[in-house]
Amino acid sequence: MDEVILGIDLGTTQSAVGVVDSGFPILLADEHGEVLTPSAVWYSADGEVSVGAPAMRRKGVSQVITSVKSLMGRRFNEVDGQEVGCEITEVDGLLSVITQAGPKLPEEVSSEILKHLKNVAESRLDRELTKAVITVPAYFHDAQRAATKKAGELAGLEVVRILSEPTAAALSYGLDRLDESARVAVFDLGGGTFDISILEMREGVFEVLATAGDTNLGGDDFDELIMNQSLAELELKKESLNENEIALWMLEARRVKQQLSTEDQVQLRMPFFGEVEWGREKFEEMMKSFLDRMEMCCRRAMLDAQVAPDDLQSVLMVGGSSRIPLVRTRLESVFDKEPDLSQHPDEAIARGASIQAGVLSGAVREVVLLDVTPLSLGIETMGGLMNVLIPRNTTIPCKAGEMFTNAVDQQSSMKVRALQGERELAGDNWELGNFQVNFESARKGQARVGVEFRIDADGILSVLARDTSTGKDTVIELGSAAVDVTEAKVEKMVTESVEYAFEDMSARVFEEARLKAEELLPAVDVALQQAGEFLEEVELSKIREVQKEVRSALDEKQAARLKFSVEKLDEATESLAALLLEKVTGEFFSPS
Amino acid sequence: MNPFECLGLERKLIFPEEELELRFQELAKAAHPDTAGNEADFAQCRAAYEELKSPGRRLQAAIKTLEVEGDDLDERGSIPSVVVDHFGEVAEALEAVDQFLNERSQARSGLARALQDTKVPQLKAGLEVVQKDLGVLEESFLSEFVGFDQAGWRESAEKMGEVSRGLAFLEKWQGQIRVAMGKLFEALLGGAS
Repeated sequence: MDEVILGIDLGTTQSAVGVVDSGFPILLADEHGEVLTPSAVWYSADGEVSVGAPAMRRKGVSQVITSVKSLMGRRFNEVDGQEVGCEITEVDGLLSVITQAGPKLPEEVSSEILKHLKNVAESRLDRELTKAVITVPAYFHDAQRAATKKAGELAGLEVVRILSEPTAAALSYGLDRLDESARVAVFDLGGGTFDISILEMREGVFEVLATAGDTNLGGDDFDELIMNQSLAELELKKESLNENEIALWMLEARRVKQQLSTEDQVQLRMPFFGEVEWGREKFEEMMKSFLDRMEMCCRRAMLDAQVAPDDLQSVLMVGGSSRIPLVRTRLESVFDKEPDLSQHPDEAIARGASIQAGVLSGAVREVVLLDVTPLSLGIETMGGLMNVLIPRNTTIPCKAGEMFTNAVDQQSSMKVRALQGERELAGDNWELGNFQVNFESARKGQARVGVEFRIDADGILSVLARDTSTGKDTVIELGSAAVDVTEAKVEKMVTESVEYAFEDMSARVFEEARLKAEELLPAVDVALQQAGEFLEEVELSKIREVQKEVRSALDEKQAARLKFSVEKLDEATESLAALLLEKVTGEFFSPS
Repeated sequence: MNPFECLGLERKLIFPEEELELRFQELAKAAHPDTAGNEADFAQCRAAYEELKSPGRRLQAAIKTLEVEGDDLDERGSIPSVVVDHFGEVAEALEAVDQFLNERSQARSGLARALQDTKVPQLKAGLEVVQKDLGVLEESFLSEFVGFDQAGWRESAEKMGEVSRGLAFLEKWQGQIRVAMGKLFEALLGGAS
């Protein structure tokens, strides 16, 4: 019998495992007949572990870790613990989750989910399984992919491929359409992440043309939106809730969100706290900024792929949040066609992972996937700029070389920072790590070392240095993230303390507030001329009133009052700014 | 092996883009490490595809194969004057976007930023005009090569060099315009802060 490789969708809120059977992907159910396992892990104080639905049932009673995916490959100082719904800490410079059994690395927690899925598959298929394809959001960077691979290893699985989720969904969609050729967009809005990929499919070749996304945008954000607004309406403070209460609030908020997809009116009910009425319109109003972010990603992907909506035969929607009606409506307007809902939103990715597993094991022969790297890879140049070596959306596996030379006589080495991201300033991008290039002793400009950057089919980077005079190759280890964390922390401390030191210097406060006031006052007049007629009378008079306050504080040179009133004016003109922007956005995206 | 041979294509400047993509996908399928191929084959196939991806690059690839066969063509040299004529237009449109982004980044309040943003549709329209002009120009260059046969490659070597440099400029500018366009809507949709 052929080797069997598992296809695993390791999702933010739920996970699934499958294999290819007689050329078709099937998902494997646990002993209760469920194919979807909640991505929840519970640890007892003595180290007992429970995964999935049983762990989920403890939510609100005991500490249960959910959405650990949003912590994978990230650094302590980047993450807001409150936001991810669990307590985090730093152990030896690495971000760890606090559990009842002590601190655990995110990849350790994830590995428990993978172990569970491995067990499910082994008992279904009645054999030992040691290899897997695991999916990640297309927009995951190097460290997030590497952490996922590590989680697999910890679970006793050799991860033969890290696969992008929207690409997996496209495989699932395309498998029974192998004789068609089409360009499709895959829109994947999951529990914690959002991806958009544009692919071309022809005779079994799946070529990704472009991908874009946001690894911090998903259904969890909508739950939080509903929770926070409800708390505010009940005049409750989130800070006054304990961890178990927050968990219950999140569960209830999720129920409200899900029900709002089919009903117009839903009541949020929290025993001992109160009830809040939710109408679909209210929810949709609050979702707008998230939808704008999604739209931006969709537009950028089309721009990168050099396609217009008319060039796309279909827009495939997957991920749990694709059930939200407004998400569908917005997508329809962006791509100018009705979204294709033929794929199961929660199962398509695991199916696709299984197909790719089949390709690698030889069980599926007619398919090959040409994926791309989602983020540009580069190095920091003198002056702190990012020098791109491999642009985003380059087909992987791929490599690029760069030659380094010594800047002064007898220089023995130089330090190079490897970066991933799209920003011009090196510091604004994700630092993969740094490495040292060693030179043979030579005059200035004479030593030469070629460095090769290679991105493998998993989207993971390796670096190789070749001394051109000796022809010797060495694999370069990237400096560990732990070091970077400390550096970043110091940097943060320094900048923050500088800000702090100046904070109570009223001269500086006045100067900043004055600059802002002098910008805002005329801006208000111009903006009112352009869009004032659409404002409510109350808002209009409020703006006028605050404008007066600002003028008088400015005349009397009162720093604290000026700062306060300028901020008030900033706030009062928020909806005016939104009105202007709405007008512009409409014009911008209307076909010209 | 030159990229035309590598992909099994006739050495032509004008052919349907689909033909190129189809050949690439067929070969990539065979050369990909996941199927029967290996990384080196796949890299070669991808490199050939990249070299032929646009008319400008195809022309350059064609010239290079001529050089291999004994002719000498300089990659540097004059640029068609019609291309030079467009430089001002391109620079102006790109400069306007840069200036807008710069001013926008200096705004201290949401309202001032929103006011800046009212300029975006006009900037976008400006970029589109340039995009269209460059497209027309590219078309006019290419129309001269319709029905161009193998012998012809050699005869008008000098002119080909000039046109290929012109096309390279057009391609670069089109790329810059796309980048500017991307920045505009990133500013618009992503840029509340």
